[in-house]
Amino acid sequence: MPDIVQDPTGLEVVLTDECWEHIVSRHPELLPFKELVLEAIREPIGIYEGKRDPSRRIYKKSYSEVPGVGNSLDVLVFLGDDGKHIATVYLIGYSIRMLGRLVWPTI
Amino acid sequence: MAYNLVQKFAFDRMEYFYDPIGDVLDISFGPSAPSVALQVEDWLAIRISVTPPSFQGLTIVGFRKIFQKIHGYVEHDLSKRMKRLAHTSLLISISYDDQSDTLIVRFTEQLFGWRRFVEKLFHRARSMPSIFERLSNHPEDPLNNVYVEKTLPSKQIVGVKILEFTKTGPAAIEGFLGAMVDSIFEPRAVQDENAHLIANALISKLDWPKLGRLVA
Repeated sequence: MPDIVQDPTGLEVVLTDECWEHIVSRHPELLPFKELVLEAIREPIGIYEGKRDPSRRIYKKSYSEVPGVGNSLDVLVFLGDDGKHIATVYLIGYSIRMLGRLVWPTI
Repeated sequence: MAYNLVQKFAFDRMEYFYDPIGDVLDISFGPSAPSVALQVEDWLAIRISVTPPSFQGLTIVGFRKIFQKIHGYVEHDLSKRMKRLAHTSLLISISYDDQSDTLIVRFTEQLFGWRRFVEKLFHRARSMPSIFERLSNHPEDPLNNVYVEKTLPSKQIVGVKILEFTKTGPAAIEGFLGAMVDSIFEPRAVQDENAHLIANALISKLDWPKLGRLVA
């Protein structure tokens, strides 16, 4: 059963079971944190367009602690080219360059 | 205090997983393990495993689009590189010396089988002189303290040296990785030549025919 969540702009984002299985097979640290991923869609601190690929939406949410993984981590959720389905997710500890253009919240 | 970390990348253990729908490529050295990413740019993440800390792999989001832009770097000598790749591993050593506050990263290819025997037999003859070139000459640029080591006369990149590492190291590493990205997308960047060579040296290690089949 796919998870469908709405982001702050009203967009409905889909996380299929198949996609989640693929994500956790490559990023096993996320296995206990599916809800955290969905929360990053529902309540992100920022939604961006990709710098090199503006058609790709990126959601970012910061956490002071992700149990068993580390402190001060950001969750990045990438949508696919269809702008609806989640393509991949991972945790970042440090970002060298800013994400692309901020599309939400609008300034 | 001084230290020397060495990590070996055996290419026969490299695994690719490409999701053609999401256009996401995950490259792993060995089995997947819990990791946290260093985000170089929004399409490229370097994954570092949590325990023990080691280079776990790369994630490239939008690989098909990126791949189309950078494939040209290695196309002309692809078959030669792929033949060699199957018998090669890459040894990366990271050394820091607090007396000189210098970080040195060196890449050494290791050969297997009869190629290794030949390598050892002619080791002296294969030793090559090298030079260090500054990555940027601009006094305000953090890359001012970054030098690339090149063999002579082939000018193959074999290492990177960062001076005043405790003061400028993080900014230099950021600038260095950024310069590599710029050399791919914005080839007129100031420090293009060396950054391009380094990016090329790393990109050339990938199994492009296999990647090509994956994204076809």
